[in-house]
Amino acid sequence: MKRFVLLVVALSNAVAWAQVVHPDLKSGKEHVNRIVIMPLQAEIEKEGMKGGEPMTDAARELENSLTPVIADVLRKLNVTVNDTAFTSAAFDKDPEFRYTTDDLQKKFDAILDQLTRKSNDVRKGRFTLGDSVAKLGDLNADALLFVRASGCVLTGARKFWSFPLSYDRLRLRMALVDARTGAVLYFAKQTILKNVAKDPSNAKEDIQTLFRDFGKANKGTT
Amino acid sequence: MLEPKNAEYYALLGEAYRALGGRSPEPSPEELTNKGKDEARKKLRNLTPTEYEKALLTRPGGVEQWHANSAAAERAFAQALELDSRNPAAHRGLGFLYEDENRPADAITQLKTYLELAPEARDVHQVELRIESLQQKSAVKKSATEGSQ
Repeated sequence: MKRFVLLVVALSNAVAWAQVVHPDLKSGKEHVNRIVIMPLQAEIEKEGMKGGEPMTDAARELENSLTPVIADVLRKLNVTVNDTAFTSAAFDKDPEFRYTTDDLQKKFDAILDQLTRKSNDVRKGRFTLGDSVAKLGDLNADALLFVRASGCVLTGARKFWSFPLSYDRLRLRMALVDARTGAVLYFAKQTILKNVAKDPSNAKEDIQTLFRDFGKANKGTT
Repeated sequence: MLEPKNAEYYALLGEAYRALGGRSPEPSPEELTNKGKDEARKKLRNLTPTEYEKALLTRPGGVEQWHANSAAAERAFAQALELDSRNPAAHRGLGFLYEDENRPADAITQLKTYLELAPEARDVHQVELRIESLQQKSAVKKSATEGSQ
């Protein structure tokens, strides 16, 4: 049943799964040893019979709890991960840092729609955030990881009404961006049929799957 | 209305002209029609921001508009430097402008001056990387010129 639902979700989201690697990463020209995780951005909506309602607190909670899970998965791929570069203390200390970070997040969002629709173009090196990524300063990183999560939690009545498609779901989109040039080196997207907001470690396996091709491409080169 | 003796304002004006790229400062009557707006929306949906900027140069009059904007930007930066020769933003703007105009040597000079005047700026790392890539470009350009002689 779950496979059938995944198929339906996949069809409704155009292509729900994708993992695309930039040719430079695949060929070993680029190698990622150190990753800095950009502040994760999540949206969760409670879907009831009367329509959708944003769950802001749950989304903020998910942003905080999902980041260490992603960091753990990446560390297992022998990559050094910094998931604490963008703390509120760092932003308070240097307001310019906050603006630069927000600008970059907006730049990423500007290409996210096309990244999602035309993921295969990552292979052609089409997507870049430009060298403005270097405005973040020297973070001692090879790549920046941008993560977007958008979830949907169904109420009991809604689950009953939409049977058999009555699963909570979370759509994850992740991109690794070269910290010098801004080129998108890796992009992955997946829809998870779980209420990850309750327990983010639920998503660990799915996140591991999301980085499978990255692990393969990044292996063996130094 | 600009404050006539404020270098910072002129540097910002220069940045504004530079950011226009192939756009005109005011939208043309065609761009303001529903058809024009639809076309722009379609392009923005199908192209990345970088590709959109390039596409603006390929439309009729795009390159001429870019030259006009670049000239206006250069005038504004020059005005800023006339009022305050140590204005870092004007040097930075000129550096990026010359880079767009494929004048690597001039760009390097301006960007190096910027780094001297604003060593603590947030984009120091970005500018250093640009200088590095401009130096490579400049070397290639120099060897190509020597080769043709």
